[in-house]
Amino acid sequence: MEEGSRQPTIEELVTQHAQTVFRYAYRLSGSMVDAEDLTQETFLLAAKNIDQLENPIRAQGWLLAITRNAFLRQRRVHQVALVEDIETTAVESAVESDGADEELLQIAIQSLPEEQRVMVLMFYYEDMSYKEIAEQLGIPIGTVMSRLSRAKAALRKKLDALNRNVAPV
Amino acid sequence: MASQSNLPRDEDLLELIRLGRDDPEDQFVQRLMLILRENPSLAKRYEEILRRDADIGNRVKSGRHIPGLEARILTRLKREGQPLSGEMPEKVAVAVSRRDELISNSCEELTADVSVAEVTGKIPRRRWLRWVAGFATAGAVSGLGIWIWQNQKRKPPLSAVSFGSAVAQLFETTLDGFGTGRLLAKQNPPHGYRLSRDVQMFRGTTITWRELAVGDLPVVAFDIAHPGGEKGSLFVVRLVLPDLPPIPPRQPSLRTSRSSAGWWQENDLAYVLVVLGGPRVYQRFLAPPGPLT
Repeated sequence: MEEGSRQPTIEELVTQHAQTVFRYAYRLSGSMVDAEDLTQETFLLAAKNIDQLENPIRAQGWLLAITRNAFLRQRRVHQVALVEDIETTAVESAVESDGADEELLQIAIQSLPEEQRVMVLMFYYEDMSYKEIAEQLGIPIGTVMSRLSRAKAALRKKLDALNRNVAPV
Repeated sequence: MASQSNLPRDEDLLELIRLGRDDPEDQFVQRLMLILRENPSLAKRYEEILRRDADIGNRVKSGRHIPGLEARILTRLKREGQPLSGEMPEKVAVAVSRRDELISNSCEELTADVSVAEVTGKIPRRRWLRWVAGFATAGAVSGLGIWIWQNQKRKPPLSAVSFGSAVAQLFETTLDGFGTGRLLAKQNPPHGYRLSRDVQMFRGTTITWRELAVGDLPVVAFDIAHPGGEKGSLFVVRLVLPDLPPIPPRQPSLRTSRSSAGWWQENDLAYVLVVLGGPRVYQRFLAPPGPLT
């Protein structure tokens, strides 16, 4: 552990990072219910493995990595129903939404294929560089560069299209 | 370990390299710098990508506050038999509860706003921003409430550390409101609240300002977004504390899991600089020390 920094308790981690983890889980899953499950799962895994948190300063990054891995693990199990549900879920949540801008963004994120979505969120939410993303996902750097670049462009294009569609008349 | 199979396209470099964040010795960083020097149209495109990235990045990280989330997680942990070191600290419980209450009020206001929006068929951006501001205020009030309460109980004069730490908390509690204030380039902050010359600005740095409060004490927060995507806020308070240093410390005085902060005094203003990131990011927000004049 880094000198001078104390190992946080699980309660402290929950208090400081629960909302951030939830937002990440929501961006990944596109569903409030799944996001809460994923958040609880994250802290459960964190509590079981808290001794693996080597540097408390990086607690948030550690928790987000747990969230991402838990999400990918769950998706592998439930892969079949994924593609069909995405469009419907995103649109429904937008209709029920309190924050229109936020939900348009979420629809755009959900429109990306899962692999691109994860990369885009690692870039924007976890502030990772393409190298770190390649290392974390175990994918060649060149592959990450081309896919992430395309994913970012696709996200902007989708956002622009959605914003045009909801622009006030 | 990742390997490099293909040379990336110029477009990929513009999308993925962040000057100031990525390793300057990296071959792709160096190639991008060469491209930007030699091709003004690509340099302009790079600026545009950075601007969109900063906007999308902020939006991706912001979102609704979920009331009671922390309590539900702790309950689940208990149910699953995880040993907890104790109950939620009282201070935190009070803050979370107060924050949830205030946010709930903000949400009620938002619901009213949405009803209006449904009638007119559109959701005005200003309403959305009010909602975000409501969240920010709620967070600020809860953090600062604790600070004021502590200082009412503690009679000794306010120390630089307790002042700096309390104001630094504002950064994380109002992070949802980061960048939603008024653009400094278009509107001046209230009279007497000025940016410090010790804070570094780059070409393309965007600065907005918001008005917050510590009890009765007004605070102006300058939200600074550098072109590389780094974010920090400079909080300015009209307050003189004898033990504040006269110049910003080169190393942060406070670090949390997300942010680093330092504080200092300039004439009648107390400054607290808080950045999202570690000491290296903090240092990039400080102007290099110049010759004494």
